[in-house]
Amino acid sequence: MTAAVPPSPGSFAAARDAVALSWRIFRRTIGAKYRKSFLGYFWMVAPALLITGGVVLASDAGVVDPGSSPLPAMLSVFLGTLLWQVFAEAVDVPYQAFEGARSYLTRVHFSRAAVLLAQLHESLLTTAVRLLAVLVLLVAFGFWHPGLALVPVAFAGAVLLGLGLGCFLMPVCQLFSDVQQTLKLVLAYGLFLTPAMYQPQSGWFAGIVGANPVSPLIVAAREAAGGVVLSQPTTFALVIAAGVVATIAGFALVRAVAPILIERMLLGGR
Amino acid sequence: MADDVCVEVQGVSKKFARSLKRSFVYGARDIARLLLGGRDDDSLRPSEFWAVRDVSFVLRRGRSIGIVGQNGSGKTTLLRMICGILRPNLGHVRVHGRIAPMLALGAGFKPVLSGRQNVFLNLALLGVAERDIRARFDAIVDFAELADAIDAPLGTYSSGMQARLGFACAVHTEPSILVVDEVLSVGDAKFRVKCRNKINELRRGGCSLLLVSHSPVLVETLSDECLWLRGGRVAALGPAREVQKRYEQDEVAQAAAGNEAKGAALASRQLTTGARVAVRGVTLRSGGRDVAHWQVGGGGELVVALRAKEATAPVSVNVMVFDLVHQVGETVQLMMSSRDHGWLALPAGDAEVALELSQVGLRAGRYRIKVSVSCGALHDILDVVDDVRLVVVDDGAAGHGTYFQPRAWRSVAASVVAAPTAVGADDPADADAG
Repeated sequence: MTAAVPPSPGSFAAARDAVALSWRIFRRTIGAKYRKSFLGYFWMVAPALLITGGVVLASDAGVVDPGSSPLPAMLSVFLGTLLWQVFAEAVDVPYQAFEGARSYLTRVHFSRAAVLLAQLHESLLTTAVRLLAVLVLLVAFGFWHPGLALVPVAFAGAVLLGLGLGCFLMPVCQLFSDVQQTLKLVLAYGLFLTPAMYQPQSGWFAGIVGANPVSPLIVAAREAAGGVVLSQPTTFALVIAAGVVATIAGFALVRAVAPILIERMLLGGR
Repeated sequence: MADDVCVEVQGVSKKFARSLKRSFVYGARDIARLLLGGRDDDSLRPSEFWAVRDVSFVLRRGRSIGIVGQNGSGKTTLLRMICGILRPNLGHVRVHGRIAPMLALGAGFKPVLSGRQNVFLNLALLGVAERDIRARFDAIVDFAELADAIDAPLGTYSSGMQARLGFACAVHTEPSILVVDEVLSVGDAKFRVKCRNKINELRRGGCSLLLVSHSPVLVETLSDECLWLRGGRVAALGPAREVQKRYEQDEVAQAAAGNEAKGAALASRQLTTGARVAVRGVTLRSGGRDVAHWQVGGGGELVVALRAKEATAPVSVNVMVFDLVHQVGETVQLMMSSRDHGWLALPAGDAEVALELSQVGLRAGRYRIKVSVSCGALHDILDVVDDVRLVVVDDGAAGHGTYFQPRAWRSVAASVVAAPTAVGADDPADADAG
């Protein structure tokens, strides 16, 4: 009879096991999510398509001004909206990971990071589908140049930034549903605080849009896709770096506080 | 940790908050303290209590420990800490070997996935490699007897089928430590027997066992040692039979003390205005003596003392028995004098009605008795006395059954070659098999 001893937490072997387990959880559960859907991947881009259609119609009617962009208005709005969506869903990854795995977490001891990574795989799949849709549209509209390589980097930045922020917010969201409700509200309507649909140039609203950490990603992705030189390369690089640091620190935080959260899950609360 | 020790629990304590809201606030504070490098301390904040307090024991390889105690005594919390689900506030738990946690069968089962997909998911969470799952898959399905349904969505399974699949997954992880929390009382009788035999098979292979059960017979039969938890603390740890005996005696003593206080209160009751009949005493007896416990299969008597303001008829004395251990709060027996004995006419003054049981059929455990006196065809309630405590003890007569069946054996062309085996003694059949 074997008596396998699990690797010590924090070791390389434990991290490798967590990645392997997360992949197995993802493979087994991803099918369940779309089992009742006939349109499957379409729903990953449908909201952005609808918003884009709406903004283009509003722009034609002179109600909304999408602002100047090296891309056609339709592509510019579609790209900006998708990047915000990718960011917003990445913020939700840690919370959804723990909520979805509630029944395992309270009954079996296994790597908590695996749950987070399994949900991240799902988010990455959605991101990949969205990225592919954008790239296909860009190429179809004749944008085929080396600058396109920076578009996936902007998407990766949105995922990392969202995931890192989500890791820091998740413990509080798990403990207090008020915070979770507020976050949902911010993420749902936060699109209006980005340069996805318009580009305010002055005033306090322009300041808010400019301070949005996703804004540099949207601006850089548009410029890269349009084949023009990046106007804010340093800010773009800083946002990507901040995403990497936040994700690493966030994973460490989630690992440390997981027992406290699981204990509260057992108490029957949120 | 010594080589033969597979679980070492050292000075373990765990606290919870009674108030759910406070527990979430404390959760946020604990996170802040953790991030600032603080440590858990020995103090309790408002609304907190120790669910487990300073518990220490060692489980050696191939040995088994049964854990007993009343509901809320900390048994499940202790097992969750051993399984790594909860972290102790104080002390430490060291585990060497693979644990098969059977705290709730089928962790991670998803109803939209098929039984096959759930087996792979469940075993992945239990730490079994993909190739090993493939190698054991057929054995798991055979054990669960689900070959025909393994590709159907789990949502179409009955609870019994899900429990079978969960148990089959847990025991096919090749564990070195089994942690079993009451799951042997899940499913139908055939499944329970199968589980029990599989656990025996694993134990013969050197697997250690931690068992929580409300069945004293199961604890005595499967455990080498018994740990009795009372209010989260270790009340006793030692040979299973001795500790179980002390635990039973404690339960009986507690019930007797409660009944004595209740009896004194009943005896001093006066008939209030408008009341026609009052219950003035409820006494449990056995073998001609006042007791607080009955023996499974033995005789039992419940005597109800009544006082009527005036002659009252037709009256029925009704006894309801509620389970406090196995199916908490469920009525397990309802006995009415109007159905079994006949309607009664009470004279003005004192009267006594006794319910006699030639053989107690309840299984071992704690029970709450409610006595009511009703009048007329619609059973208008004249008086009620609740919360009389009864402990039923068993020397093995009920075995693993849910009730005691009076019985006799007769053998034709077969003779008895050995005396009956007492519960807890070595079974000759096991010895032969081993």
